[in-house]
Amino acid sequence: MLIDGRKRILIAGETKGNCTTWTWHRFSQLYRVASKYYRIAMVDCAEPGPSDNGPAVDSVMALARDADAMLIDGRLLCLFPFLRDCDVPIAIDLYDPLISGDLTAQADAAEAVATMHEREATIREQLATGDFFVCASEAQRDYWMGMLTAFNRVNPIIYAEDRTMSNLLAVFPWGIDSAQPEDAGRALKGVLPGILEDDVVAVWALEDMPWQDHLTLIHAVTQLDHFAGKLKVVFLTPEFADRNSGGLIHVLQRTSASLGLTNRCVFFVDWATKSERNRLLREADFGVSLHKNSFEAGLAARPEIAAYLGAGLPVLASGRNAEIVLGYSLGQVVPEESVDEVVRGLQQFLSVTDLRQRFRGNIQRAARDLSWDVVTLPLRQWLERPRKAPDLAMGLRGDDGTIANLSPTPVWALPHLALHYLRTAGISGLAEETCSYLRWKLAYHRR
Amino acid sequence: MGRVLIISPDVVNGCMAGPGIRYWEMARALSRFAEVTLATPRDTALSDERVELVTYDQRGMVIREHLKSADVVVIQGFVLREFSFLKHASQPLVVDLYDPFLLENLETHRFRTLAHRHAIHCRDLAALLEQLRCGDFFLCASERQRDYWLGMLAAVGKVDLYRGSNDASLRDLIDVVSFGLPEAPARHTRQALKGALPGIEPDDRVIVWGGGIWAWLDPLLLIRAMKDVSAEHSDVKLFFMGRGHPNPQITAVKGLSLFADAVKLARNLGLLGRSVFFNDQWVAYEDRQNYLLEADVGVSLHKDSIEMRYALRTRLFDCVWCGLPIVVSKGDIWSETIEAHGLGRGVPVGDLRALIEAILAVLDAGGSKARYRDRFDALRPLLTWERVIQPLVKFIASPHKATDSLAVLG
Repeated sequence: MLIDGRKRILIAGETKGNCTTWTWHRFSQLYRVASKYYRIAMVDCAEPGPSDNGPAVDSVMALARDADAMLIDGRLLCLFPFLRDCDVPIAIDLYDPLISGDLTAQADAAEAVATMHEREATIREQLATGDFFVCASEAQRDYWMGMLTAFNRVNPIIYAEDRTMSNLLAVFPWGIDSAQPEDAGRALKGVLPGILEDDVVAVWALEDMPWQDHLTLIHAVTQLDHFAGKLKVVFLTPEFADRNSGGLIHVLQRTSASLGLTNRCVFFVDWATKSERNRLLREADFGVSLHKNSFEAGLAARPEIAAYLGAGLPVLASGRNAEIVLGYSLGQVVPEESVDEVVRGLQQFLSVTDLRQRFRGNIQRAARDLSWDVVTLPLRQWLERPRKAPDLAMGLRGDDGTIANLSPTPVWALPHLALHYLRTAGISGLAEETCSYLRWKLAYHRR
Repeated sequence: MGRVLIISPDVVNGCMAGPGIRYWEMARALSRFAEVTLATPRDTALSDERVELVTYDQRGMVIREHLKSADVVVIQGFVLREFSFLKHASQPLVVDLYDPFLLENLETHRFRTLAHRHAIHCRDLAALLEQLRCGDFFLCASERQRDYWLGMLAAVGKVDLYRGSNDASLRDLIDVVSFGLPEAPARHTRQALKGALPGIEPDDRVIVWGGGIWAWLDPLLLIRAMKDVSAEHSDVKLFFMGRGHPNPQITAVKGLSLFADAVKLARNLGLLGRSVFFNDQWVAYEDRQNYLLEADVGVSLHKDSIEMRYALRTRLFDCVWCGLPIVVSKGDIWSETIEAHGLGRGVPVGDLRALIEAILAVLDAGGSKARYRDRFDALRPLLTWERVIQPLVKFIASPHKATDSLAVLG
C-alpha cells in the first residue's frame, strides 16, 4: 500500500562490500517491513574505494532532495555532508556506539589525539543533526541519552513535548527472523569429519569484535569431562572476515590448534551467504555468545543472539546485555570471563536430551514479541509523521554544532521562537514570553 | 590512612534530606578506612567522634583551609560552581553524580516560561559538564545511571582519555555507590503514629509516603486511590512524613514541592484529617524508624519521565531497613529490585486501579510484614553503607588524577 506517493529514502552504510553483515540485515529487514507502507530507496553507501562503484554523490543527493524523510547510518553524514543541509527530516540509527579500539595503544600520541577528535566530531555532527534517533538496546539508550544531554539535545523544548524523551530517542532492537523452512541438506552432523550424527553441536556466529570472548569457551572445552566427546564447538566464520595475524580470529584459531582441539572438538566453518549461515545454525543444538567484562561489551548490540533464536537455538551467553535470554528463559547467562561458569553452563546443556525442544515454546514467544514487524514500530511511527526536531526547528542548534547554546537564544532565532509561542500558547503566551525574554536579556547584559 | 574532605551541598543535621543523609552516612562509614572531614553549609547538632565536622562559609575560606591537608575531595551538585578554586586543586576530585539534578529540574520548572527554563537548564548543563571535565573519579547510583553518565563522560572526551592503562570495564573511572542502610537493626524507641497522632488509631493500617513531595513524583494519584480505599476500609490511613525540605532555601524553589496541591486535593476529596494526614514538619533522621516500623506499607509513585529512569528513591532504603513492604510505580530501578526480591508490588505509572489493588493486596495479606521478613533479612546485608561505599574506599586507597592519562597522550 503506497501512501500518497510519498518517498522515503533509506541509506545503509558499512557493508564492507557485501550484503551479509548484521548492519545490512538490520536495514534490509526494516526495508522489508516499511516498504509495505512507503516508497523506499535503499542505497548501499559503502565507502567508495579505487575499484569500487559506490553510489554516485549526485544520485544520493537527488534521492535525498526528493525524500520526505531519511534514515541513515550516522557516519554517512561525514561521507555525504550535504545530507544535513537538504532540509529533510533525518532519523539516525545509533546501533553502533562508535567506540574505538584503545587509543593509547597508538604509537603516535598526536595521532591518537587526532583520532579522538575526529571521532568526537563524527558523533557531534550526528547528535547535532538528527531529528530522531534509534539505538539497539536499553543500555545503549542510556548511554546515548547521556551523550544527547551533553550536546544539549535533552532540553526543555524536547521535554515539554514528551517527558520520557521518546520523541528524541527510541529503542529499535535487533529483530528475530521469522521461522524458516527446515533444510534437508546437512553440512555438519554426520557430514563434517569429526562430527557424528548424535553429537551436540554448539555454534558461535563469529564477528571480529574485540569484546567477544572466544578464549573462555575454548578453555572451558578443555576442562569438560566430555572433552573430545559428544560436544562439538563450531565457529562460523564469515568468508570476508579479517584474518590478519594478531586479529581475534587468528588468535582463536592458533589457540585452538595449539591445544590440539581443532577438528577434534572445535571446528571452523566458513560461510559466504546469509542463507548458508542460517542453514548451519539450524543444524546446531545451541548458540554461544560470550562477552568480556568491558565497557564496549556492555554497550554492544548482540545480533548473533537474535540469529540463534531465529534458528530456534537456545543460548549460552555471558555479559549484562543478554537480558532477552533471561527475560524469556531462552538458555543460560553466566558471568563474564569465567571458565568455571561456562563449564557448568555447557554441562547443564549437555545433560538435557532435546535442547531445542525444551526451549521451543519460549523461543517462539520471544520471536513473536521481537519480530521485525514489532521492533521497527517506533521508527515506523516517526516515518509516518517525519518532522524536524522541535529544538532544531526553533534554531537552537549551536552554530558550529559544538556543545551548544549555553547563552540566550540568539537574535536570529527569535522569529522562529515567536511563531512557536503563537502556535502553542496564543497571543497571551507570546506576550508573556516576550516580557520574560526581555527581562532576562537585560539581566544577562548587566551581568 | 588517607584524608578525605567531603563537601556536602546540603544541610547535615537532625532533620535532613537525601544529600545530607548520604554524606553524613558516607562520612561515618568511610571513617573506618580514612580520616574524614565533612564540611556542611550550616552548623550541625550531629556529632561522631570518628568524623571531623566543619561548617563552611560562602567565600570558601574553610574549604581552602581543609583542602590543604586533604588527599581526596568528594563533591556533588553545585559545589564546584560555588568553589571554583577546587578545579585547580592538586588533589583528586571525586564527583558524586547520584542525583541527576538536570533531569529533575526539567520537571520542576516545566511551568515556567521557556526563556526561564532555558536559562536554568543552561546553568545546570554548564555545571554538569564542568564537573565531568574536572572530576577524577565518579560515583553514581545505579548501573543504568552509570550508562547514562558514561555517555556524557564520553561526550567530554573523558572515556577515550581514560582507556588504555586502566580497567577495560571503566570501573576505575565511574562506579556505583547507591544509597545504604545502617548496620544496626532499626529499633522502635517511641510511639510515633498509631495512637499517637490524632486521627490514627492503634489498630489502623497505615500507608506512609517517606521523604519529600517533589514535582517529579505522583502523590496525587495516591490521594485519589485513598478515596476508594478508605471508603471500603475506614481503618486504612495515609501519612506523608515530610513537607517542603529541611533546607528553607530549597523549599523556596517554586514548583519543587507538590505539598500544597496534595493538601488541596485531599481537602477537596474530603479526606484531609480523616484518612490522609500530613506531617507538619520534617521527621528527624533519628526518629524515622519509629514511623516506618509502625506503618504497614510504604508507597513511592512517580510520573513517566526521563527523571524516573535514572532516579534513586533514597527513602525506600529506609523501608528496607525497617522491613516495610513497598508499593512503587514501575519503570525505575527500585521497581526492578522490589519485583526481583519480592518486597512488595510494582504498579504501572498512573494506573489508579492497579495501585488500589496493590495496596489492598499488600495490606490484606495476613500479618503482611511478617510474610516479607525473610526477604528483607536477605537483602539488608547487601545494602549496608559500609558495603555500598567500597568503590570509593578502593579509590581512596590509591587516589589518582584522571589527567594522568592525558599525559600518556602527550
